[in-house]
This record gives sequence, structure tokens and C-alpha cells, in this order.
Amino acid sequence: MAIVINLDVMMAKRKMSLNELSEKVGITLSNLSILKTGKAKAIRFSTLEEICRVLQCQPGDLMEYRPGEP
Amino acid sequence: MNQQNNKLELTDILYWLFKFGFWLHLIYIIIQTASMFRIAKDGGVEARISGNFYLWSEISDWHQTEVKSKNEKQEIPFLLTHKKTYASYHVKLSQGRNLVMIVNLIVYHAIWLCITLIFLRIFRSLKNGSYFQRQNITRLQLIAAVIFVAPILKQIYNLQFFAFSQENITITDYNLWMRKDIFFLPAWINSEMVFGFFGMLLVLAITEVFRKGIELKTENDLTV
Repeated sequence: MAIVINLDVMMAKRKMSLNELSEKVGITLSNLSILKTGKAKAIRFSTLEEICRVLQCQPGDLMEYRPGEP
Repeated sequence: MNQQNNKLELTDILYWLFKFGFWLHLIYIIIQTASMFRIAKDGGVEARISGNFYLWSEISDWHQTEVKSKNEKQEIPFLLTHKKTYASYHVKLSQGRNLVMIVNLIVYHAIWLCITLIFLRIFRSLKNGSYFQRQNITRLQLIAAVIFVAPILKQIYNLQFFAFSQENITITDYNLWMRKDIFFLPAWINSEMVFGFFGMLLVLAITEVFRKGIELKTENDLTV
């Protein structure tokens, strides 16, 4: 998919673990892992809002468009 | 919530019906195979193929005619039960042919038994709440294939038997024809084959619905 998720980058910047993020956002660890590894097919606005709130970032910081990516 | 409970109950009923049907089918096959072997041991096999032959006759009641073999070397006592255009055969064949017929019958029933088993597994998966499984697609495709192929196999068997009958027997005053099921189609295509074809299309359509359902479920599972 041409949309690349940079969740791990933002988590590293905020020095936050996956466990901590999942607790604060309120979604399961497996779902967060799906998002982090780029396997997710879609993301709800509510989830995106929560992640942005917890990581104090913009949606654009979490994902970027890279044409030509499989 | 109530609606969901009702659906589950219906699935339960269908599951138990298919489970009962499976065992009933199995018992039927065992009994029929045993009886076939018993008849074969006596030197012949009873083959009832009704409705596949067309017989010109004015007799309106069930009538039996003993038919003699064309080939004098082969002894084929052939009893023909007929009424107007319908005829059924009771024929004693050689041991080799008996075996072929018995194997054919067992294979034919075994295929349908497998289908009952596949249906049972589909309903078990529905009963357990796992509606959209990849295995269910394969199972439905297998059912579609059998629905289409089984009547063809049966008809091939009928045609072979018909050819054998035409070559080897003579019936005084009667002409033997393949019965035409559907007037605009050739006689070798019977209604079972046509229903099989449309049944296959129907099951394939259901398979596509299942495939789409699995795609949607996967997409839903991967939505965070």
C-alpha cells in the first residue's frame, strides 16, 4: 500500500512503548500491532484522534504517501 | 438479539437434520451394498433403470416380458417391466459386469455421502458461529462440482447400459429408445443433468457471496 504508517517513529520520539500506547489509546495490543506493521486496511477517525491526542502529533506525522510502494 | 437467537436455532436444527441424514445415508449404503453383493453371489445383479428408456407399447398396465439375448453364446435372462412408455430392467449379467456395477454404485453413493459430510461440516461451522471461513468456500465449490458431475456420471452409466442392451438383446414387437426428457435437447441430456447445471450455478453464486463475506470480514478485522 502506498500509505506508510510511521507510528514506530512517533513512538520512539515520544519514548512510548506499544503496551503504554495501547493502554492510553484504549485499543488492543494486537490491533495496534496490526497498525504498526502496516497490515491494517483502514483506520477509524476515532482511533486516529486518540493516537494523535496521546502522541501529541498530527495525522500527517503518523502516515505518509509514498507512490510506488507495494 | 432475539433475531440472532432464532437464526442460531435454525442452524442447530439444520445441523442435526444433516447429522441424522448422514447416518441414515450411511446405513442405506451399507444395506444396499450388502444386498447387491448377496444378489451378485447368486449369479446376477438387479439393475433397475427406470424412465431412461422409451418403449413403444400400447399396454397400460404394468407388464413383464422376458427378453432373449441376441448373442446365443451369452446367456442374459432379461426381464423387462413396462407400462406404456416406462420400462425398468431386471437383468442378470456376468460376474465381471456385476463387480463393475457394484463398484459404480458404491462410488456414486460415496460421492453423495461425502457431500452430506461436507454439508454437515458447513452447518457445524455455522453452529459454532464461524460463518466466514476459507474452508467453506472450498466445500461449496466441491458441492457445486459434484452437483454438476454426478448426473453426468450417472447418465454415462445409463448410456453404457443402454448401448449394451441394444447390442445384446432383442425385444419382440417393441422398439427401445432413449427416453427424451426435454423435447428441445438431445436424448443423452436428461433433466437431472440440466438441474445439475443450474444447481451448480446456484451453489457457485452462493460461493461468491461467501467469498465477498470473507473479504469484508478480513477488511473489518484489519480495521483498527
